[in-house]
Amino acid sequence: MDQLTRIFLQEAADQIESLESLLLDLEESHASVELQEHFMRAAHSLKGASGTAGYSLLADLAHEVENLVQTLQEGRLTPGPDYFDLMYRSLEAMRRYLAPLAQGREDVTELESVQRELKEWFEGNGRQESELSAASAQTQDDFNLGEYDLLRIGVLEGQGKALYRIDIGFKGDTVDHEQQAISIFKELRRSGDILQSIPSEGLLADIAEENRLVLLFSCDLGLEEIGRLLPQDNLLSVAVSEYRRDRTLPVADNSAGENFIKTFASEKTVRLEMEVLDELLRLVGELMLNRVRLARISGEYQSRLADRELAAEIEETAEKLEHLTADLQSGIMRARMVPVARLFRMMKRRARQVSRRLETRVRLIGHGEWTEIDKKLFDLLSENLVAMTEVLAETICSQSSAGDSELSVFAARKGNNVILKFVGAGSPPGEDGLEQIRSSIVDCGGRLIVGEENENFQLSVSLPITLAIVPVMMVEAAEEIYAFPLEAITETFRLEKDKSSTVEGKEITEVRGNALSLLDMGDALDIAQRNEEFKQKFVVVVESGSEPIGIIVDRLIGKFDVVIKPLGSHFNGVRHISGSTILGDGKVALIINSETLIAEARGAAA
Amino acid sequence: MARKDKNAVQVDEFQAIGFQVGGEEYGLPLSEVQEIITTPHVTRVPKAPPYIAGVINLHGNVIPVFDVARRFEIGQTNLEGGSRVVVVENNGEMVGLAAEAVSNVTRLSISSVKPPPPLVSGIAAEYLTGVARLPNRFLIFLNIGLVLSNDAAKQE
Repeated sequence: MDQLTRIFLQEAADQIESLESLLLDLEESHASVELQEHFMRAAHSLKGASGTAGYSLLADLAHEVENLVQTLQEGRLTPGPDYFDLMYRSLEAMRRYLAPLAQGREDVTELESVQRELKEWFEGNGRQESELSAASAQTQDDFNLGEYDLLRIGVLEGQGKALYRIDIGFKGDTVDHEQQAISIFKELRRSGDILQSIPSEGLLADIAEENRLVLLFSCDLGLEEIGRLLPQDNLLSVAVSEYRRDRTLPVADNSAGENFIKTFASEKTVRLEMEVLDELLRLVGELMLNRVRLARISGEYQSRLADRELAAEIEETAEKLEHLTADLQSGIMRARMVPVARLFRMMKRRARQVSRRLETRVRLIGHGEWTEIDKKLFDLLSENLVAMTEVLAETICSQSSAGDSELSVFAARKGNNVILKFVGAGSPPGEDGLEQIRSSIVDCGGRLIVGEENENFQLSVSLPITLAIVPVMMVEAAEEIYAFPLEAITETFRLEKDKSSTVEGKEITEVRGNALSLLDMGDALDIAQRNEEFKQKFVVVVESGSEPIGIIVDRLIGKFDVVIKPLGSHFNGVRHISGSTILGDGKVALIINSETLIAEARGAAA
Repeated sequence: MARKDKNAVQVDEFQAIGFQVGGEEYGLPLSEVQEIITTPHVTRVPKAPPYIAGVINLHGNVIPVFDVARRFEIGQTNLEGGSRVVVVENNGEMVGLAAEAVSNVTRLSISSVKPPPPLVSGIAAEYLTGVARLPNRFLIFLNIGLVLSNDAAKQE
């Protein structure tokens, strides 16, 4: 697949996502002219791009969707849920059509079926048949200029170039009109810019029906000179006139300005595959390890080296390296961050689906959508979080007698975490519905806390800012080193020999007057202990939901920020281990999933 | 007539390495081998399948180490001493195969690799691509993809 096609597919996917987001907004305020215009422009640009890339089916569908919103704008109908269902379905059909294209597979069935639905809808709503045919058969004479076009025009005018409208009529004989059009394009481009054409360049084949080509052309030539560029003898008619646009870009309107910035902001960004970032991160990890080694060596050198100056220089360099590595690391981390807005959109859609299914309205209202999370985290958890939205929406609906309910989501950054708080009326959903979701959240180093307050339920999902690095407490147990995510630890203390007792087969100790259940790490992980003699032990207290549990380990090593390395598919069924990390000496240490550890301990107690 | 480059591999030949596990020698086409390293510290993974000896650090990536002997329940690979880890790629992931020793690269003719009998040293034929007879040894060629497959292991 060539580069251009790949870029188109990526851009088109983005455009469809924008359209979905706009649709959500449009559903809330369908009379907003600004939203309608915005939507139509986006659909129009998707149409143009698809046509140019050769995906005419997609272009057609984009055109239909644009028309759909146009009927809204013309005030010819009050849109009901069916209208929006059709719109969502169309966008989804487009999305699903695009996805396999990247792998070279094309499936047009869904597109065609939605096309038929749209046709039926238009017929049912009294639309002219002619407007349903190929996208190129626009009867509009005027060019539909978007902001980008207007900006281009502005730039060209600033260069002293004029705008012309060129109307070309083709002879109705057997001459290949498309070929003629292509050579006209080529010839004109030698002297100026073609800003727009009707039909669009990707759909020139449709000239056969229209026998007509209209161009918006910019150059610094005069009318006559332009005329001379065209093969007038072979054409039926040629008319060149100065083009004056009716619509000027309102300068004072801030939203338009914002959109400008958004269009051009995209030119300042670079597309990067996640794999590249991952590799960079891995390299940074290696860099960090070697930096630590260097620091150790420099320390040893200092004690052995007679040359104090050299030793100091080595130390200084090692320190500098540390700062540089840290900065590099946080730079790469930042590149991985994406706003949760996208997640909110997905959740809103799911809430809407639940509403339609249960015939009770439940709206999802998002706050703090610009809060950022690691893209990796997003990829891993988005499905689960959207599933959670479904569970919560259903729970609210089942408990609510009113026809209109709300589910609020608050996203905020808190220290090294991002908190997503879901609030809704009624009691929280049962634990079974949340088990799968809870487990995935914990595997990512996060937590799920369920609570109630004032007849509302509150579900807090706490996620590490970045999946890549997590602060842990390193411990030693049965001669291996393990890492406990700090997030789950409430406290640690030394366990004296006589301070624990056994009650009904379970070990218990007392902390500040309260009983604390203990669980030996070696037992929990089925690791053989070298000797059973009770040395001095330490306890790591972890908490999940209600009761805390103390995990008995041999030694506390210390707090570290570690880079999480996933274990791979061979370890999918392994309990209690959620990942691994590489220690300073190059050895691999496992990261413990304290949630499952606690669950097992509780299960055993039950 | 041009002198034949004695290092060039003939079309009907391929290069392979042998790795020793529990007294048997298994063959792997060189094209399948990513690299061979001295066994580093292997971190045990509690509650992992018994044929996974643990995980190691390979250039900053954490990869599993497979024990072929335990996979087919014909013993256990000794990871001490001069043992090696043969790194192969499987389904987009890197995996290490524990080996007590690794032989030099051998050139074999494709025709010397015969279809395996139903059971070779305790391993069912479906896991083998063939057996090659060399001057003083046998090389058992494993179907690595299947050996490392999770599904196959689960079905047993």
